[in-house]
Parts: sequence; structure tokens; C-alpha cells
Amino acid sequence: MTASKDSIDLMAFVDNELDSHRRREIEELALRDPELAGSIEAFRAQRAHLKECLDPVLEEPIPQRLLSVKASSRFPLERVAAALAIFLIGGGAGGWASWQYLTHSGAGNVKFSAADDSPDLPRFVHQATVAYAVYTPDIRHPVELAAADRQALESWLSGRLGRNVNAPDLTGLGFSLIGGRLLPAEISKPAAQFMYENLQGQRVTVYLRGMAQPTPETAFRYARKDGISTFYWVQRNWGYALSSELPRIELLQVARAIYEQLSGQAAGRNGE
Amino acid sequence: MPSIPHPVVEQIPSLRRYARGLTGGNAADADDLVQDTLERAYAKWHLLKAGFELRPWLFSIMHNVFVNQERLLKNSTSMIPIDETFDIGVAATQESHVQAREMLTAVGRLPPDLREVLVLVSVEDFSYAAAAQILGIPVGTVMSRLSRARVQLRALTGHPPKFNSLREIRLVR
Repeated sequence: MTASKDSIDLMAFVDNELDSHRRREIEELALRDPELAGSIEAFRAQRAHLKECLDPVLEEPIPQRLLSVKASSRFPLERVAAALAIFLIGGGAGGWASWQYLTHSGAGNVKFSAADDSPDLPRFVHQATVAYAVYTPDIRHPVELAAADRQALESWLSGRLGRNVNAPDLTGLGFSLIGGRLLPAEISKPAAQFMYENLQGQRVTVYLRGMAQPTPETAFRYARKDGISTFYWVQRNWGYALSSELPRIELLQVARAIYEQLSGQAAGRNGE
Repeated sequence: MPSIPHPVVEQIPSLRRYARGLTGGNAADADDLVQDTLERAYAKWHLLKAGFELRPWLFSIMHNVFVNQERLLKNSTSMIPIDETFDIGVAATQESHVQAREMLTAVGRLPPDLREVLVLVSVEDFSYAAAAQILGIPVGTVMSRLSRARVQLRALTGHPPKFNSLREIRLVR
């Protein structure tokens, strides 16, 4: 699917992006070759025609909904950021006080700040990120069981993971459940993945499994790899990861909602 | 409300034009794209450093919005009858209107990544280097996508390829 050097040069000629030497070469070639001259003319005409087709848009009145965006922003990030800053500085209430908000900019690698982490934790984050990358771009089969079979999905995953698993409800944040799947992770520790989508088609996944070794509870952590952001945490030896390409601050809101819902579930294990 | 328009407002017509190209002439989808772009732009406005270039920045935001939406659009656009979605400037005469419709419909059939490069360079007049920066890809990829876009567009608008004089040029399918 690559374009040839000559075809690229022909386009660069049309766009006036060639150095003068190569430009003269092609001009001379075109003088001797009517067919090449015809191609150049055709692509020039195509370029001009495309612009003519779209230029009238510039003359259209700007729809009011675009002019009033600022006042009625549907995604008031600034306000969210401000609220979050107050929350973090003020320490929040109850369990939130112990949460840390760590960032790893670095070279995009997953890094860990504490030396006493379980060796399973990096693997867990990696598995969650890979599962996100593999399944979310899938248009036809993003999930194994769709949200229409939510009950079947939840009871199946609960049985396989050995605990009560419910898909978090993220509708309040604009994300609806697409469905979920069971994933291989560690022997006797399979993982569950739930996938959600908002109206813009942006997807997030919630990934959870039992940790392979006893793992201390962690603060709320953030990792970023290949453009995929993941918030993760460990609670009662269960690992939770939320992955997405959403901006970090939007993702953090989702993570908070999940934390509240899932930790409630972990408290009520079904003892299978 | 401030009486001086926000600098972003000046760019709205151009953003709408680009979006109209990306959506193959669908005005409603295009303005949705612009709206989401503006929302993100205003939200991030305070993060900008002095000396940044407004126009490429806005187009890069639209690129991100477009990429995110494309998954959803991919499922729906093919089912919408063209007559209901097409909407081009009112000044067009009947004949040029038909031609414009054909052209933009053809653009809409190109793969999204080819569409972006094609319109950024041909209509918005960005250099290859600027387009590369906006899309976050190497300049070589811009050039190769542009070439494929134009050859495919030519085929889609009913011109059989004939590139005997530059032997390596072929219609990429």
C-alpha cells in the first residue's frame, strides 16, 4: 500500500513542494511526454476543484451552536480540573485522603514508584493495556458477550473469577456498556474485561483479576504506554485497571466512579 | 461576554471547511466535529504557551476528535442516503453543485487517514511538514498518503488511471 517515489514526486510537483532541481527535471520530462503533462494537469485540476467544492463553506454563516460553545461547554474540563485540584489539595473525605495521584511522563514506559511492589503488578498493568489495545479497535467483535446479555455476562464472569463481578455503571459519565469478556492472565487467575463507549465512540475498558501473589494495596496510580492511559489500583488482593485514550483528567473521573462501585462489590464476595 | 471575539472564533470557517471535507460533504456531522473541537480547544486554552501557532493546534485537535469519532461513524455513514446528508454552499449553481456533490461524495469514500491528508494539503494549504505535525506522522507518510488519496480519488470520480509515463505509478487498491 505504499506509493511509488515517482508518484510522490508528481504530487510534490503539483503542491510546489519539490526542490528546484527535481522540479526542473520533471518540467523537462513533461515537455517531452504529453502523457506526463496530462497527469500533472489532471492532478492540478483535481486539487483546484476540491478547493472550489469546499470554499463556499467559508461564506456560510457560522451556526449559532458553534459560536456559543464556550458558554455552554458540554465538557467543562476547566471546572473539573479546578474541583479536582481542591479535592487533591484538601485531601478529600474519608478513604480518598490516602489516594495519591501519580504521573509518569518519562519515555512512556510503565514505571513504579515503590520498591516493595509485587512483581505481578507490572504484568497486571501490561495485560490490561494489551487487552485494551487488542479489543477496543474491533468494530464487529469488541466483546464476547454483549450488554444485552448483561446478567449472563456477569454470572459467567463471577463464576470464572470466583467472586461477585458486576459491570460498573458509567452511564452518569456518558459511557454505556458494550459488553465484556473473559481473558487469560495467570493460571487459575483469569481476568475479566468490560468495555464501554461514549457518544463520540471513545472507548474505555475496565480490567480486573486476582493478583497472583499477595499484593499490598496500592494508591491510585497512573501509567501511560503507546498513547493508552491506565489508572490502576489493588484492593484486597484484586487488581483493577481502567484503560483508555481519553485525556487523563477525564479518565480519572471514570476511575473514581469505578473505584466506588467495584470496591463495594469486593466487600461482598459470594464465597463460591 | 467579552466584546472582542476569541481568537479561535476567527478560525471557525476554516475548521468547518476542513470538517466538511472529512465528512464527505455532510454538514451536520462536520459541525459536530467542529463543536467537539472547539470545546476541547477552549478547555485547553489556558494550557497553551506563548508563541504557539493557533491554526495547526486547532487542526490537530480536530484530528484527535475525528480519529476518536471515526469508529462510530464507520458504522453509520454507509447507511445514510447521500441525498439526505449532502450539503454544500448555497452559492453553487446547479451544474457545479452536482459536480461538487460528486467530488465530496468521492472524498467521503476514501479511507479516513487519506481524507485528512488530502484536505489539509489541497484545501487548507498546509505544507507537507505542517500536515505531518498536525497528524503526528512522518512527512514521508504524508506524501505517500497524499499520493494514494489523489490516485484513488481520480478513480472514484470516474477517471481511469493512465500513468504510462511514470511507470511505477499504479492505482493502489
